Parts: sequence; C-alpha cells; structure tokens
Amino acid sequence: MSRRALLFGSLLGVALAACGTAHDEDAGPMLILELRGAVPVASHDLRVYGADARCDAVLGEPGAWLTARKCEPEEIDQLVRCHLAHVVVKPGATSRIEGITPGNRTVFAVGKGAADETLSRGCAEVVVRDGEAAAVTLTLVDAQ
Amino acid sequence: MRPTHLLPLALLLFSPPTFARVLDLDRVVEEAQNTDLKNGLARYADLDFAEGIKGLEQALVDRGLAPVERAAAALYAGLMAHSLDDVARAKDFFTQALEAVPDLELPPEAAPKDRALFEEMRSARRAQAPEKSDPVKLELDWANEPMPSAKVEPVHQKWWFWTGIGAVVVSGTVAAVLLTRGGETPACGGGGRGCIDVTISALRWRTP
Repeated sequence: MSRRALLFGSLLGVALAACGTAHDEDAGPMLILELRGAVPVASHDLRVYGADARCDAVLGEPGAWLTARKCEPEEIDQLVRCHLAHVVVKPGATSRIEGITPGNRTVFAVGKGAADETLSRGCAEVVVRDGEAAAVTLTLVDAQ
Repeated sequence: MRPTHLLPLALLLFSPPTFARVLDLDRVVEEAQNTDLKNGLARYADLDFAEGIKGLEQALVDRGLAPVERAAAALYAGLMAHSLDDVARAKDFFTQALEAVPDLELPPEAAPKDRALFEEMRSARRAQAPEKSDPVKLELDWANEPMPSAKVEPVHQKWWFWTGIGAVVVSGTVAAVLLTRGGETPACGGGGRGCIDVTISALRWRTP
C-alpha cells in the first residue's frame, strides 16, 4: 500500500470518526492520529467496563484492566477490575456488543498484531440505555 | 460549323443566371472526412464503378455525413449505377442526393441520359413534397461554400456532464445522511440491557 493511499485512508478515517461522534457527546475526546508508517492490525480486543473505570484510569494502567474476568452483577460499577463484556473482532466493520447493563460505560480497545502483540490502544466513554444501541467511535493510537 | 454546335454557346449566353449547386468533386474528395466517401469518389474517377458504388453505399450509412458529402456520395453512386444500367438503384441514389441537397445539379460531364433520369427524380420529388422546396437557398453560391465541419458541443451540453453531476450530488447526499446517523440509537436487546456499536477508526502507526 503506498504512502499516499495510507495518508488518504487515515484522513478519511479521521473524517468518518468526526461524523460518527458529532451527535454523541458521551463518546469521549477525539484522539489525533500520527501519520507515519502503518503496521496492519490483525484484530481488536474490546472490553466494556462499568462507571468505575474511566478512560484516564484505564489508559493510565492498561495492563491492570486487561482482565479476563467478567463482572458479577453486584460487581458492576463497584471499583472492581472486571469487565461487562469482552470481544475480539476483525478490523474494518462496526462491532455490536450486546447485553450491556445500562449506565455509564467505558469501552477500551487494544489493536493486536498478527503475533498477538499490542500495537495500539484507544478508549471512549458512552452512556448505554435500556433497549438502545449507543454508538461510539474509538480512534486508536500507537501503544508506546 | 454546324448550327447544332452553336447551341450550347447560345444557351450559355442567353440563359438566365443560375445559382443551383454544382458539386466540385475534387473539393469534396479533398475535404471529405469519411474514408469510404473518399475511396468511393476516387473509384468513380478511376471508372471502377462497382467498387465505387460499394464505397459510397458504405459512406451513406454514416449518419454524421454532412449534407454536401451525402449529396456527393449519392449523386456519384447514382451516376455509376446508371452507367452500369442499374436504373432502379440510380433512381434511388439520385433521390437520396436530392433529399440531401434539393437544388443539386449534375456535373457538366454528366451524360444526357443521366441528366434526364436525374431531372425525372427531381420532378417526382417535387410532386411528392412541394412544400419542402426552399427558393431562398438558390441564391447561395453553394459550390464555394466551405464544407460544413462537425459541430463540437460544449461540455455542458454533453449528456454525461449533467448525469455525472447528478450522480455525485445523489451519492454525496446519501453518504452524508449515512455518516451523520452515528448518533442515532437504533433498538437493540431489551429486557434491561442495551448494546454498544463500536467503530474503530484508526490504524496503528509506527516511526519508520
């Protein structure tokens, strides 16, 4: 893939992200991409946390939040390092994560390479309501 | 000198001035864009009438042929067909020539029998469509008129120009509507649960 195509693709991605979050004030701050050489992401690891896990906390200590444990109903929003949902998706399409208990939720995404190495991270906060789909757009940045 | 030899001279001196169109074959051949027309007329000059008719028939199929070119093609095809004693085809060709240029005249070298048949076709055409005759055209010096060239339509008169603009507007509107629907909350789940539609919009970038 040429650099010009990558540049175009990244700018398009930024534009699409801007459109997607235009009506969703709960989606969190937009992160700006660094336009350098691209490494393909093989998969995205998505976790949804309760209100206790804000993005600054998760991104400040990402390793601690990559938990494999799913929250018990009584643990939700109670400062317990567990997740409400965990899915691994292929890059490209929008992924729907169902069965989320309503409330303030944090979505943490990790871009993984072909060897399961962490390439990038992103986080956004969103309000989930009963019977509704909350749209959130995550822009991942390089995991240093 | 026999009196009959003086007749053409007398006709020339005493006949009223005529403005009918006499085609300049050399000029038509020189300026023709259609290859079949060029070749067909060249065959006429070479007396290769069978091939000449074929070429001119091909040329007449071309809808982009200018009226003068069409008249030339049909006229000389008619002359060649008549020379080959194919009267029916000659009549047809002469009629086509007159349809293209109603005030067309035969070239001076045309034989009397050609002239008679040609005038017969002109009369028949006038009898069929008298309202189409246009005497004003006779005042023009058609022989020296430049050959009409194909008109170049401006881009905004091309069908694809406005079609393209329409397609861009429609697709842009659809894309804008789809892209700005991110904030909507379509129904999902239920029973005390909601869901999250996650879109990842980034690639991973690394310093080269």
